[in-house]
Amino acid sequence: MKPYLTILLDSFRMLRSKAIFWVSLIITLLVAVLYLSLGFDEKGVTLFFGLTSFETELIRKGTPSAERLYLGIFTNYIAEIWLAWIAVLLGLISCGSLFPNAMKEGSAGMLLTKKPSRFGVFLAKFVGSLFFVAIQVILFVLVVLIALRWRVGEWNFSIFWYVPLVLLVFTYLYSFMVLIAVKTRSVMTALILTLVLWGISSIVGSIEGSLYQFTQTDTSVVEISPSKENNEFEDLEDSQATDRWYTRVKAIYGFLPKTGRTMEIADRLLVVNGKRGYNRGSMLDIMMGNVSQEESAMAEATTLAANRHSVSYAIGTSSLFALVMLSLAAWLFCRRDY
Amino acid sequence: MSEYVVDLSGIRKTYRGGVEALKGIDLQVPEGCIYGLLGPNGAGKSTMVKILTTLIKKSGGTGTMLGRPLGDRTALQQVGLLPEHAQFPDYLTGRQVIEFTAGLQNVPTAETKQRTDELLDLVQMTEAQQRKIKSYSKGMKQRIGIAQALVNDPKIVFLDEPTDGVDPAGRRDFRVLMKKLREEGRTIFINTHILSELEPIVDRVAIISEGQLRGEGVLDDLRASTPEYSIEFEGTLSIEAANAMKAEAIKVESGLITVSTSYATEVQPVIDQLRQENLVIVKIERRTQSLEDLFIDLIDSTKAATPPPIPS
Repeated sequence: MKPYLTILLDSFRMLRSKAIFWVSLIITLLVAVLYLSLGFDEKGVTLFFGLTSFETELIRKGTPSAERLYLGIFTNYIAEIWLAWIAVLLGLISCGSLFPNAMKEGSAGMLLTKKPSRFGVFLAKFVGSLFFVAIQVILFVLVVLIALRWRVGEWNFSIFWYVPLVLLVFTYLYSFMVLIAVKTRSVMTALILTLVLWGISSIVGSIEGSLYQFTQTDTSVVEISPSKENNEFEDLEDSQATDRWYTRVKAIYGFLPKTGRTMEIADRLLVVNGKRGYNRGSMLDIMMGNVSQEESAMAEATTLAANRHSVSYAIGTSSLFALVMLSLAAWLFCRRDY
Repeated sequence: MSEYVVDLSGIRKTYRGGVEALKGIDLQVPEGCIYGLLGPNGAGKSTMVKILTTLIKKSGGTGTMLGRPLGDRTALQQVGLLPEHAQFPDYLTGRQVIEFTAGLQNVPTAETKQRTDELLDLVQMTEAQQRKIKSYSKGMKQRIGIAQALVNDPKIVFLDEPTDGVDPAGRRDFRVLMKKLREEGRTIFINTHILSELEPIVDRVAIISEGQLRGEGVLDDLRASTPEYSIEFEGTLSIEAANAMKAEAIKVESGLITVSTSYATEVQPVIDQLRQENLVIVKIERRTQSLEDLFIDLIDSTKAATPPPIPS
């Protein structure tokens, strides 16, 4: 066990030595503190720890809508943009050189000629890379936990679901990056190709989501509009064509890592007002003045669209992708000459 | 079990693209000696060390190291390595590099501290141990490299170009250290192209060229030519004496007489003759074939034996 702990400790030391680790850690904490600075009082919403505020009757301290809004800002903006994109990107940039550096002639001689097997070294290096994202996300979520306690008045431990989910998203992409890095030994090639994969996956995911909504709407139009008798046949044909496209895109998407869908799983696991499941549409409801506990039709539609993939499908197929990539990378790492 | 710490038979390595780096090497390294592996650039020296330390997989042949098949991880735990162009993580201190290797080799924590202190002292790096590697000179890095190679108390130590970039004082220290390690019963396998470094300390050498073993054994046995005595003098030797010497296969030139013999007694009559003719003897020197001469002779003979390419 000691040799593997030594590799993990070395990974941590390496990360600690990198300026980007500290820069992204500081920015992460700044974003978290900025979130913390948002609050509520008896008159409405306060910003920058009460430096400025605006009055509203809808969202005040202690109201259920305050918690929904506060969580909404976190899930819709901070988690969606910062955790799901920027933190993962910084992680990829920081950890990109880990494998190519370990495979350099003089370094490989230091690492691969010792007691641990090559596969053991590979796994330890991979797990060590996860430290980077894990440390950032855990710290971030801790500040958010404190913010929720302070601003909303309850300890919402369900936000810790973001830690494994962000790590999963990072793992999907990083496994591909490691494969390219092991194959080419080039940090830049690995990073660029990973970003391309990420982009393709996101675009295909968006198309799949749009086609899903379109096919659902189209079907309902055909079904509830008997007056459009002249166009009924054409509508049905269009609908079938769209269905076919949706099936194709969904099949392609099945092979790709589902970064967006994985992050959306957090919504289903969050506990809001004592109930499991958070609807991103409910934040729009609040902004539009609907502060009741009942969800609007729009919020329900958002929930329906977000839940079109089961948790096991989103995580299972993506994890399978990561497993295949990692297996190939490990195979290459173990059999090649150094 | 083999009586040799390294026992190789017909080791071959063919790289992708068909480049044959090793063409069937047989090598036996006895325990407790300093073994030198010599050869020009691209001869296959590093490939050989990399096969022994599992960095490269052999294409053919069999072999054992410390009585276990090549690639056995248990054997590797008793091996120390300073690779060529060793790159230590620049965020570590010299001490941490040694401790890192100790961790990888599963050296117990209490033992690690004691051995690290001893090794830092041995390579004279105690004062600089807390400095980051990036602030070290090349020579300091090599010293740390040797120390980390010894942290697991290895039975066999592979040193690939260990004095590359090291200053003369550092090289002298290196030779002293190698002798000390041999006295401790370790086998030291040195891969180098700096022949003068090896000659004073090496017990056995193997010379490889173009992937093949050209010579192997104790250095004195490998030396093809007989030692010779050269006598430099001032003045002119008489024609009669010169002719008499030439008749006995003694080489006579202006101011220089060369006698090919291993025995000093055979030189005495020549000295007597010079004294008798009142010539001033300036210098008497016993010369043997140097390792460099031997190396060049073997490599040249290989090239001569290789038929020229057939024109297309």
